[in-house]
Amino acid sequence: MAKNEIIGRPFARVDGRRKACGDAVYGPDIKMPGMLHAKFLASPYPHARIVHVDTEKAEKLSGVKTILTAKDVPQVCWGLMVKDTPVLAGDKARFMGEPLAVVAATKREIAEEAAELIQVEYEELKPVFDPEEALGPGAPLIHEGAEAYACAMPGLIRYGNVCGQTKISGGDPEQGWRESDLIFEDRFSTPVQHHGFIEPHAVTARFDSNGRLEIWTSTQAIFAIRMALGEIMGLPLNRIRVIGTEVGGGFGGKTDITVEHFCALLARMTGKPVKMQLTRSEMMTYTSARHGCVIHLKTGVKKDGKIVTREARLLFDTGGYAGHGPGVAALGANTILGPYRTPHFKIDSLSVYTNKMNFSFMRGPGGVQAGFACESHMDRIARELNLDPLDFRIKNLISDGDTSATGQRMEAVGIQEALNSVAKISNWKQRKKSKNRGWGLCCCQYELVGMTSSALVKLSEDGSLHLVIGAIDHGQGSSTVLAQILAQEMDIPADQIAVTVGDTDTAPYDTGTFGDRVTFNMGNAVIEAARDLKVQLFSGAAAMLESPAENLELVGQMIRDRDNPEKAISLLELAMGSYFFQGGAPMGKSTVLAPFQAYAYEKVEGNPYPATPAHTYACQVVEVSVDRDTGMVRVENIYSCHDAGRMINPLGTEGQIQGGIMMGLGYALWEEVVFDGGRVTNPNLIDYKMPFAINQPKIRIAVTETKTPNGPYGARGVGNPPVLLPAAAIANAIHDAVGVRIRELPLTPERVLFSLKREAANKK
Amino acid sequence: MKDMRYIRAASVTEVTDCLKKYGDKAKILAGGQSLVPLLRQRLARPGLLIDISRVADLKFIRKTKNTLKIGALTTHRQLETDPLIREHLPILADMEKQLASVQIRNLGTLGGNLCHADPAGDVAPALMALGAKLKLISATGARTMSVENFFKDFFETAIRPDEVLAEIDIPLLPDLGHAIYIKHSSRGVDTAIIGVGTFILKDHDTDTCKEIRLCVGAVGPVPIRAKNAEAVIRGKVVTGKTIAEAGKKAREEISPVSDLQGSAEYKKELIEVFIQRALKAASSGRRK
Repeated sequence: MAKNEIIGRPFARVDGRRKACGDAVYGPDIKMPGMLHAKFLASPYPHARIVHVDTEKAEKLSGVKTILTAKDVPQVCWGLMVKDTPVLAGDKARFMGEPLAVVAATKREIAEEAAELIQVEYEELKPVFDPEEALGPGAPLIHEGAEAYACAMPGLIRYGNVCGQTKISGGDPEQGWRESDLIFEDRFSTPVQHHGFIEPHAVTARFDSNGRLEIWTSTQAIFAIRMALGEIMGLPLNRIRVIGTEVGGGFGGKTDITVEHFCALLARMTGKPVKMQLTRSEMMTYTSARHGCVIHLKTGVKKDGKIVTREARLLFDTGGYAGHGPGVAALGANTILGPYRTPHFKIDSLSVYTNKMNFSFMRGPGGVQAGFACESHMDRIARELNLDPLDFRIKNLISDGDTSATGQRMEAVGIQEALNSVAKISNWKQRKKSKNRGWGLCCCQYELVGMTSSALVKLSEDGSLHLVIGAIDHGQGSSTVLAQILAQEMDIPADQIAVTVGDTDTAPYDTGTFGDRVTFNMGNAVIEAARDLKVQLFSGAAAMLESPAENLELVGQMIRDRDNPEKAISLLELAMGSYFFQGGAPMGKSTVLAPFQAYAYEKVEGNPYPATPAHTYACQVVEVSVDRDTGMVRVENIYSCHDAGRMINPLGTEGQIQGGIMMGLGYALWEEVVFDGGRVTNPNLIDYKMPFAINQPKIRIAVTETKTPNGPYGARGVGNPPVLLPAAAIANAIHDAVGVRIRELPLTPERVLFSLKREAANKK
Repeated sequence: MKDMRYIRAASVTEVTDCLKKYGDKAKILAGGQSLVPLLRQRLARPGLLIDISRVADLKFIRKTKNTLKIGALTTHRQLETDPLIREHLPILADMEKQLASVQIRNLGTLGGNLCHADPAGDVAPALMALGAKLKLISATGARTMSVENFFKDFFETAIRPDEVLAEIDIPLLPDLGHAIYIKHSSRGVDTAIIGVGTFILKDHDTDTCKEIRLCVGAVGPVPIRAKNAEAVIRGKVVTGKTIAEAGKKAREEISPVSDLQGSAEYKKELIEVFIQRALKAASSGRRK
């Protein structure tokens, strides 16, 4: 196989067969002898003082092994950003569904029944559900004494019910308003979205006789789980082993601990393995759904369509605990200008406590909300300026050398090429407009996460290669891509490479699978590890071939002298020689902390994350038809163009884009976790509506490749942008079709119909 | 669930004997598409589960001179694909295509659907429009009841704790009779926001409407007939004008209730739109 053939070629997934044949082991599949089953008791009130908890009746139920309440568990507060979360709610409950007690019993049904038998005396407190109200004077304080909480991330701005705030400013907004010919203002609001993974959260924990904790969990980030467990359990990290199972969908919802600590504590108490598997309703009332958000935008433009200035305020409802809220608010702030040159701006993005469940990461966090607002707002401005939405965007697009809101010098900006490409495949300029049908356009610029990845490449005795990593493939196809990268570096067929996703004991460190970072950052780590291995192999071969190491090359599983090709040795021979005579077992290793340009901190305040090492770009055109009598929207066609930097596996790239678009389509049209006060009224997949297969419109995908300097072969992630696009693209298309601008998601038939009726009434 | 007993019945007699003995402590399990989720969520906690899924006597589709008789254990999918149904009552095949997914249609049964009495169910308004009757059997005998009288409230029917629904008896459509079912749901095959079953019979000579039934589901505790709207059409030639008037009447006479699929205000709008659409389709649609 010639060089350069592996990168960019379609590759079947390395995990495909074992998943299709059913031998992949998921979280719920774990079973152990003597295993107990756990269940938690959830608060029935959104905000209540817990006066008294009586477990006596529940403990008497036959089969119940132990019950833990707040007084029985470590008195630590943990948290990803703000350490505000008790292990179990003790003094008060801050959302309906918050765990107050955990039961371990011999059967799941017994644990369920015991949880119902626990008697709790509550004193209801005044709740607050709306983030705007939570900021107002006299709003109930959800965390009294929040100022005493420690922070895991530096520089957080916190006060009252605000647990994080990012402020970014640039230019001179006052001057900007004076220079503007026209000013546009809009308010947008977005719903809570549930990840909707097929596989529920499932965790099994046990302590071995040396007091070492082993835990099996369906997670995206084994090392993050280990760190949180260490803090809660009071154990050094080398006494905890986190084993990631196969993951049946993560989408950001399996990044942090959910019930791992409950299982660990119950296992320590009972001396037995303890398993906990969440029901759909528990997942939808307790785990980290997408933040609902309210966004105010005000933009000043010149008559010719040049953007002059923007003011943005984003309120992320983060629920009873901070979770990743402060970071999500920061990502919202970083995304709200879109890929457009904006000389003057002032951005204020808040993460606000309310009495709802703790919202946190979901695919494209912060960006999905900001993207809907920014791109709907852009469309409105274009319409009112009588400019084609494409031309208006092109007029304002950033390009290489521009500065981001956060002060980074932009490079490898892929949006222009992507926009040209989507205009071409959708035939935008020649689009046909017929009655009740319309076209919408949307662009996206988002950020990917860098942080640390490490890889280990082992040459076995027979010359075959084995890649060991700690980055979970939660279905997005990273293990396949990494096999291809190693194959490319070692010039060996990719199907001859075995990839093992190890556990926290056996694999080198990785930050986790999220933020479009695995292909990008672990890709670099694999390249580094391969190069490290090659140095060792060339040094071994140099002695055997009596050629200088710098003269050697690896081609077709042979190492040979470039100038004297008959001087060659196969990997097999080299391995044997190395294992038995000189050198030992060849092992390439690497650790890569992604390089990044720091933010300009005189412009950016309160952002808890390290700066992004690369941006991601995509854009989309959709065609819809609207039934004016029922408000039903039908998405007829989607044309989507994504900049992959450099495609590693076109099959995986397209799969990620297709799947992400469907997730974005659900967000646009149907999906909403509905709250009545603090109660979720639709905690099931009948009443919470994700798209069915029959709802998939025709999707045409184009991929552009604007190589990013920090990525492996120029690659960047493609997982998040597809989710950012459909909501605004569809809302803009609805406006084009029937003339109503809808600023609130989802775009349900009911919302569309009443918008039409209001519009008709206004015209009269 | 741990204290629940389970019996798999082999015959109708065994079912009725069990019901006689255990009454409302028992719950009948047929296809499990409604009951099993309720059990899992601990919303239903019967002492005894009587599994009737293997009672062969309840699985049939038969044609008599004037009716089609359908066993209560007939699955949705069987109804959708059966040649007799497609020939004589295509409304039911059409209705089934819009009900849930193929997987659910392959397991869920007609009887289970009716007895669960979800106010948003699709089967009930279609059967009401056709004037179907239900045969209920107990240890002491059998009785027959119209579908229209069967539903009492949200998830409540007229069935007694000792009875099992055995058969659905549907009159064949007369010549010049048309029956259709249309529904609106957010994802196309979803729980109905509104469902309308319509039967219309026109006079051969005058083209006036001789008989009409407009049955609306998902707007209240039970499916109901839009009788004022029917009165607008009955005895008249169906025109754009009468259709519009009927839609308005239906909107006035029905006070819908909000549910998770749609608000009362939205359903109010849809009643007018869907009564009109149903009348238009049924009066101009294909024969039968």
